Amino acid sequence: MARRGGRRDQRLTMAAAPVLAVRDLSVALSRNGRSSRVLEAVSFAVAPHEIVALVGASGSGKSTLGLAIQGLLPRDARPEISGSICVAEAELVGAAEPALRQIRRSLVRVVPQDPLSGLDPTMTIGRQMAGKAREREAIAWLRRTGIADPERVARSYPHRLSGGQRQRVLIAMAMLARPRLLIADEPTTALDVLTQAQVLETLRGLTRAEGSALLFITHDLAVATSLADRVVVLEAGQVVEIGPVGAMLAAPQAAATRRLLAARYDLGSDRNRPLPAEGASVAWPAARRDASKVLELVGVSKTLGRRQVVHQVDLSIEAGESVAVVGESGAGKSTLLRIAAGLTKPDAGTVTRLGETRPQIVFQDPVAALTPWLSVGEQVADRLRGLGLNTAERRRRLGEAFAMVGLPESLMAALPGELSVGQCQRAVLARAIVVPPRLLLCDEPASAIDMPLAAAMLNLIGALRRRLGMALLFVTHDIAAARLIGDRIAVMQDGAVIEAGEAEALIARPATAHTRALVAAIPRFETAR
Amino acid sequence: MTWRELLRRTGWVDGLAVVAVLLVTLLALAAPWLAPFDPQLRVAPAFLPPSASHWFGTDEIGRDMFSRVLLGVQGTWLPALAVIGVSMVVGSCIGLVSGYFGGWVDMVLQRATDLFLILPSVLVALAVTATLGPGLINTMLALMLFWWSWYARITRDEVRRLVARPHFEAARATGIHPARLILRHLLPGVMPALAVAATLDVVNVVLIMSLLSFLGLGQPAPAAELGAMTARSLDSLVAYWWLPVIPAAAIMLICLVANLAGDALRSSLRGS
Amino acid sequence: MLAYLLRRLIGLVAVLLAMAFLIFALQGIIPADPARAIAGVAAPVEVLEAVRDKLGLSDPVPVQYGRFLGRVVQGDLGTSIRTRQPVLADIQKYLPASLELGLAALLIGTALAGLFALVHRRFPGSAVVRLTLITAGSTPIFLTALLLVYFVWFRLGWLPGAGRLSHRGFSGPTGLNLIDGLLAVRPDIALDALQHLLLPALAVALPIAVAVGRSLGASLHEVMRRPYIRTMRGKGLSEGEALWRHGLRNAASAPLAMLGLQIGLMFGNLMVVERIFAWPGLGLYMVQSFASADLPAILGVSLAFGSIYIVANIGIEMAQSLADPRIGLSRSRAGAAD
Repeated sequence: MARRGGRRDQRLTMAAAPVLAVRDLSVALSRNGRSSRVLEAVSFAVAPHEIVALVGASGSGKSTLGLAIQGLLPRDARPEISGSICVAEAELVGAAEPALRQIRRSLVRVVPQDPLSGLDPTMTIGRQMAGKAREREAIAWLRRTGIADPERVARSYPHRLSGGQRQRVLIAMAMLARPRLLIADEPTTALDVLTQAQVLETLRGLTRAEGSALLFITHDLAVATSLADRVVVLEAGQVVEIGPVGAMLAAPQAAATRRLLAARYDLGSDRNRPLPAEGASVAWPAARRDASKVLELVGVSKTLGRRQVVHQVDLSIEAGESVAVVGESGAGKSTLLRIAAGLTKPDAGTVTRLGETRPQIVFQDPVAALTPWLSVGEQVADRLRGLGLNTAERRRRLGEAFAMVGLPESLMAALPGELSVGQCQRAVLARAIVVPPRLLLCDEPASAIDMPLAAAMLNLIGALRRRLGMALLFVTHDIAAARLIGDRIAVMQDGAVIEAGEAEALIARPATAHTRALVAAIPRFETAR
Repeated sequence: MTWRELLRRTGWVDGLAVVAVLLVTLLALAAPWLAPFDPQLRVAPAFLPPSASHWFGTDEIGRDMFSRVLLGVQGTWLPALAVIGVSMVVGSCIGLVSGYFGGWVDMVLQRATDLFLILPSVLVALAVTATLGPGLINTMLALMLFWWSWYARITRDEVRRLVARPHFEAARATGIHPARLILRHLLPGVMPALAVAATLDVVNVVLIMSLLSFLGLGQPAPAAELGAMTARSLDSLVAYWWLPVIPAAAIMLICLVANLAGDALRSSLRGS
Repeated sequence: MLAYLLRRLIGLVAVLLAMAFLIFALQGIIPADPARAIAGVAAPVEVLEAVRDKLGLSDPVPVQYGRFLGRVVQGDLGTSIRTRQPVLADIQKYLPASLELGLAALLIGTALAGLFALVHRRFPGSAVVRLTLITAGSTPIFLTALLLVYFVWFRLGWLPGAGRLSHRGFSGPTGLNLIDGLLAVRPDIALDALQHLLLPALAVALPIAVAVGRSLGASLHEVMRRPYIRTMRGKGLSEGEALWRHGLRNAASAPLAMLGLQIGLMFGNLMVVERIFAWPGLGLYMVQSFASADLPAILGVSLAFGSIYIVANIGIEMAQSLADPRIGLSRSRAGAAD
């Protein structure tokens, strides 16, 4: 972090008027007729050429702030705004629509969150980027964002492009106007680890080259610190910490920042104990293990459509052992998990499972994994049916499961929609372990959620598998999470396991270029040490 | 989305529309007892304008229009409900099978559904009723012959949507009994969409049935049918406007109530 | 794209065949036994068999169906019981009037639908707009027509309430009086035709306008909240520009489908309106055929209307795939995006 020292920060803020100055900004939005404060007296500034990261958990108001800076707060939410937003000394709050449009056209541009839905599906890329007249300019910008064949991309419809390509198109579209300020709203959450790293690099390079300031909105502190000069931490609509990256990492001021830091893990985190997200922790107890194989896949292959998704995979898991499978999306790891679960039949190879209880799966999105119209208790109790238990026994086991995952019994009658994301996670785990399986399968359980929740999830899975003696198959694109949770790691690429071994050894000495790339793509804390 | 939530979210204006639908149904059921006069008998001079003793006046042979309209409401609303009910049961069973099993079962059933969906329902109903001979039962048969396909499509699409959702896959992966899976984890998710479709669809059936009746394909002459009543008194429009207009307005009111209720259901669903 | 069009074409033929089969099956139902009808009630079995063979009734069903198709393709739809004319000749005679009315109604209906959708967008969530549209959507076609006749013709006397033309004996090459009047440089005729056309066309157009307008309004409302519209707003496009350039195309599919559905319902409405306005078209012909149980005429006109409907719907599907390039893809490929 030394290369962007505090001295430069000062010079920047003093030398020129800020590109963006937010002063005492409060925003209230109404939902279902009720108005609620989303932002409360927010103040910060972005200097020319500066990269500022706006960090906060979901619901902290960071996306609302991004919309407010474009003057695009949803009209049907009847926004009430007070305070001031100045972009290049033009006031946005209270400005007329034509003036706002002029600002959006030339001064502020945005790279939206989801590249899949951010482009008009009925129009070619070239047309929607710049219209007919400026198509050549559009192509030049596409090339600058690192798209290999910009002419073809410009003629294509969005559905023909990959997620990474679409995100580059959106970056090119935004940079086309050479804006003074570029706002990037979690532009990489929907992308693979490798693509994510490349897109971040493109963003940094282009804004630096064009002299645009960058406001980077994210929930991921590691991404923020690796990219930004300064960080603004937002919690519950308020700025709780603001300052240069180095200073914040060395001495976080706000409790929220410390929580975010504690929940963050990378390749240097201690894997012998739970993450310190919920306070200090003691070392894990040893897992109960024996040499019997709970799962054995031999020469398993699967073709979906014309593509061979899984190719000749051998994988075995011993009782009590934890194996993490790492790969990019499309590597075949989810299909492998479904084959292990018995949900998908392989075209070739054999699958052997041990134990009568079916392996249980924990899916990616905990809220979506619960049937919305059934109470949480009923869904967990579903698995106790047909075991010949009487009502009292069933109730006792249900209570035990809730206690084990740390859910209060009062939530048994609640519908999933009434629960927080964290509580849904716990409910999903309760359903998986109410009748403990020999093998627990986890499909990216920590990737669709915020850092603190992800850390809590990893901790809970680690604790439950050791306590109940379950073996674990953990599928993820994040090799740092794999290292934390897995005794062994298997790396998949294009349907095949290209490398496997003890977790620490594999990461320390990757045998393949792909694994090296996966390791290198993990953003590291740039601490002041 | 459960029925409980649905009711909680429905506002009182929308609640009123739902109550009105129930009221129309009660009115239709009790029509023979509510009618002040025998709808088939001459009870007063012909062409009386609306008055206190004959609310809707009398028709060209002196029958009480109010009684006839009441019976007409019965003869329109109840058959429409029956058509919807039968179509919904048949269609949703086909849709459930098609959507749940997928694969070639889905393919075959969906191509069949497509065929019935794309044929112009009104024309076919007209042709079928004209061929089988005018009458209530034939009209209903002609409609049901096609109407199920619409529910099969809705159910199938909803089932496919739900089956693809993570929560269904998650429930299935836990290994619970298939019957419980379908009854508790699938069907309740399909019901709201079906209910909305059916409530709005009553309007279509009422309008088409009254159209057939207007064109002379309903029940034969003495029966009190709203469409036919309008058609028979078309020539009286200038002199006795209420004769053709009141039965037609009755149809409009029924449809309005059903439309409002369906719209209320739909918007409360969309709010979720 | 070519494969897609080909597939649609095959679908079109299949549906036409199904429609024709339905008519064929209905013809088979009546009269209960055509051979008996021809040979007489007292005819012995041998005579009956002979008549059956002669009529081809003892052939297997597919053969009979094939023969029926052959006749239809040659334009033989049977003879009307009521007019004693070939049904095809009757259709040729009455179709132009219905075509004129139907096209005018579609034109007015689509224009009104756009207007309704704009009002819907301008006043989102307005109870008055919603109630008005719902009321219009609940009105049976004959009530609309009656009210138009009663007020606009009888009470106000603004427009004629019956027939196609005040002048008798005018006829032109297309059979559409408005166009023929213009072609013959007879503005008086064209104006008279237009005046006669307006009320019935409005009556037929109203249900189309309400249904399509509501669908378009709802679809636009949905589309204008999509992230890509936000992208376009973020580019500095105004609401209007975003709606015209990006919203409309994306919102087109559902209202187009609704238009297709409404064309199907329109045939029934044409019959009612032609009856009320004494409009001498196929609809009125059909109503008269109902009254005299003229089955050859009824089934012939049904087949004609059905074919028009199916062709119109293919047109609509093409319009949908023009609006959205993804529709041309097979479903499996579009859904396979990982």
